Amino acid sequence: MSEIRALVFAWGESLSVISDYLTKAGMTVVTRDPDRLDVDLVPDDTSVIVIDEGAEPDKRRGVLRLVKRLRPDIPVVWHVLQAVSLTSFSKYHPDFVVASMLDPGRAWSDVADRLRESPIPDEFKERIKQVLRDGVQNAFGVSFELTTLYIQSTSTIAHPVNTLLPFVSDRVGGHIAISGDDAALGSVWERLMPGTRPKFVDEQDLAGEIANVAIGRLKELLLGYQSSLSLGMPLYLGGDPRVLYRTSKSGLVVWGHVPGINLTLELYLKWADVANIVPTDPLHAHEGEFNWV
Amino acid sequence: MKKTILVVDDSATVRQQLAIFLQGNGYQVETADDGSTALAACRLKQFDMVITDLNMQGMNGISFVGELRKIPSFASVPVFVLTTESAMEVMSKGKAAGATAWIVKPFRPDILIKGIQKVLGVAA
Repeated sequence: MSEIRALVFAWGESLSVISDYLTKAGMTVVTRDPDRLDVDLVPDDTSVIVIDEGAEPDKRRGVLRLVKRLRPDIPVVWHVLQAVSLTSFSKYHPDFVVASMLDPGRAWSDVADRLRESPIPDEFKERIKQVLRDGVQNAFGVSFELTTLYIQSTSTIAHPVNTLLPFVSDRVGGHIAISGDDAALGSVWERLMPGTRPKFVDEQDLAGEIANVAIGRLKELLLGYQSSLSLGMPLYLGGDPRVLYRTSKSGLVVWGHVPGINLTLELYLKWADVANIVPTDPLHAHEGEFNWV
Repeated sequence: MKKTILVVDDSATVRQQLAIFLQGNGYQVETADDGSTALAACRLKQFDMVITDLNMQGMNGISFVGELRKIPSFASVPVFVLTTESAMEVMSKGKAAGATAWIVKPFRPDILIKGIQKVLGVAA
């Protein structure tokens, strides 16, 4: 992608500010009246669509839904001032989330770089989604709908129960976060142990175990990339929505939610050095299998 | 007389899930939340079998198995490791420490119970 043509939906002063930074990042800016949405909204030569969350986030999500329906092939950048709650996106997700409050020039340059060259191969992203989805489904009977997006912002906690498990290897680094409310984690608990009710600490523990199983599957996947994963200490965070739990700013996020209940998963990869590795099927034990040793 | 299984895992979810499952299959169950606590319990009481997690704070599963095997009455008691860890290299360390079997979480109830019945016999 040599020329990047950015279609910008922004309102008021934000439009000129964002357009200025996009131009400085080497993009060609095209604008549309954001209040007149129709089927010809997105020109054919558009490389990327930028939507400013602004002061009316619900209205902006309407724009996101429309452009994603019209042109699902074009990446969408969601611009926020500082922090984002990914739970606010339901069926339609942006491909990038950018917070430009602290260093807008760098933020938009990073987006341009990502658009020109994806540093994490799509095959790897798909494999991650598959192992996370299958691992959690098999263990807990809940099915996450997963998507991948690049994040350059902090996140806020959306639910009262949160577990965060950091990990690192010679090829990847990041964390997994499981977040849910009483009803969601209670329903998973009761599915596993019918007739019992969890206390708050049980719900925290369950969220930790979901993270543990998901990381176990990621660990298994990475064996195929000749890499061994080490885990950090799990963190249990309270449900104050003002708490920011991802402070490192740039990375790939595999984000998922379980339809119908308030349970979310966020796998955050600050970096992943897997581009030139041909994955193999390593010698390892498979989940559920019995191995006499 | 019912056989007694000691379940060692730092996750309350796993301890309770396993306890309900094993009790439902006719076994008595006691639990411990780390290797050190489990080892102390084994010095006071004889169990017919042990199922342990691998990654636990303090004493991990492999160290626990190694220490357990030093207690004469536990030299030949079956010990299953139930963990998300699937690497052969780590399994080999478990074997060297004295583990009997290795199961990658999540466990499949039918497979786990068959393995238990193989080492303990069918529960009453």
